[in-house]
Amino acid sequence: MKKLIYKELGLSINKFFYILPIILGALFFIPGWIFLLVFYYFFWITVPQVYGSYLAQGDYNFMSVLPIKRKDIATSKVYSLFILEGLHLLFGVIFGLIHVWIYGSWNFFFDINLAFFGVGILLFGVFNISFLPQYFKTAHFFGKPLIFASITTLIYGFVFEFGVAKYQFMRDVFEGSIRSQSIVFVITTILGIGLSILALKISQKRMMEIDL
Amino acid sequence: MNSIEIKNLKKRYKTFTLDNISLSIPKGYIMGFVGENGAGKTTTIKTMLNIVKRDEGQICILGKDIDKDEISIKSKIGYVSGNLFYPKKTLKEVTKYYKSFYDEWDEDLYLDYLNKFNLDSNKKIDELSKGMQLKYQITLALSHHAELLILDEPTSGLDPVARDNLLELFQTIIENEEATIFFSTHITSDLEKCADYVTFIKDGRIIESCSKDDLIDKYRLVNGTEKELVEVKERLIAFKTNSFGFNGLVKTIDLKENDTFKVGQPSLDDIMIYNTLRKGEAI
Repeated sequence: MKKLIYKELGLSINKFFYILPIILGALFFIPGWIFLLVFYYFFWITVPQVYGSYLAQGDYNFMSVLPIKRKDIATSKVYSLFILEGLHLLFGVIFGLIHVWIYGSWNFFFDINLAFFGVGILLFGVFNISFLPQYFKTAHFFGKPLIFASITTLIYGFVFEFGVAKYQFMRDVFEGSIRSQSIVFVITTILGIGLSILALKISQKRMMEIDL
Repeated sequence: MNSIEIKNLKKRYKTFTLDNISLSIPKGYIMGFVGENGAGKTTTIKTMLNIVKRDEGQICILGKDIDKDEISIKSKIGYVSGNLFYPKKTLKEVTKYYKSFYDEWDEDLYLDYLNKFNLDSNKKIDELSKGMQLKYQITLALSHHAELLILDEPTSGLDPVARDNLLELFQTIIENEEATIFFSTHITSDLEKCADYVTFIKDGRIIESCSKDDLIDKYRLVNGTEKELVEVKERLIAFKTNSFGFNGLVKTIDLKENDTFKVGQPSLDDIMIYNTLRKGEAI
């Protein structure tokens, strides 16, 4: 598995996508914005580019004859996506902290705080469960799965950003005390990881059934 | 021991079916897998290697069941699909990752082949000609001491000199590496040059699978007058009419002692062309 992930990160994915989290992270310097959008650029830029390049580069042709398990082909691709998502979150946290240090934490929309990053982790979980199982029905076409995942994640993001701006009770929960933010963080992180693991399991299962 | 043994392989698509494919190749020989475009050669190879999921059938490669020992089998196979991969990467970059999957990778042998084929490892894959790309894929396949080489239409798109060189290379591999080679083609002259065994596929069905000499012995090319055509028509696999009479292909066992038309030895080309037509149909 290590070799496969190493191959994914070194050969299949363009190095630009390891720099992009830093570039996109800088969007946290915009004062008063819908900061969840920073993560959406990952779905709209990185994902179609990476999955399109699998096709263009003949990635599955190359992998299909290597002495590896079919299941591991899906696993390595999903883990690589998780690693990229992790990088976006990591730089989100770094630049988010700098934002709070410069501007303070108040925002008309969702503040950059502990609950925000929990909701961000769940956002990736929602994306993973919407995109990956659909993609691994073919391991080929990524357009429809990406449109489906984009709609799902936009609805998800709208609920939080609009809710916090509009309703006081949501502001109290998501931007209230550290305790309430921590509870949100723990719950959303567990849900986000749970959905991602489920997405991995379904992807592995579907990979066993398709023609490469 | 047989290097490949396939029994009753089936794969159904909406518009095409691989029907009851059975074939075997003894270790250390070259088998040509011939058929017209769309006959099912690539699908058979992909199904054989589990790249495409089969509906039915048993596949044993190098004495092992593909369902039970896929990884172990694939570590001893060199597969050359002819498909381009990582066109913007250099040979060096691709090899760096490829070799990490093979315990028996032989770096000296790899460098030896690069040198032999005049391949520059600093070149990008799409900077190579089609022939050179193929040589690079063969280099990768051979550098981990593959016991079985499977090549999908390796000679198509190559110029006659490159094709001849490749076929000579096959002979060298058989002699030096004691490997088995299974290659698909629709160019029958490739088979004449180097194949020991021939499997002929048509519309997803195996028409013949035997040694090249046996295959040629099984058929006879016949020609005669229009009157003789009437007598023999039902026994012909297919025929062509001309102003002098007819030419056709018949199975040797269907010949009779009292047949008056001329009988000759067919080429593999004749066997393939006449077999791709329906029985008794004029071209």
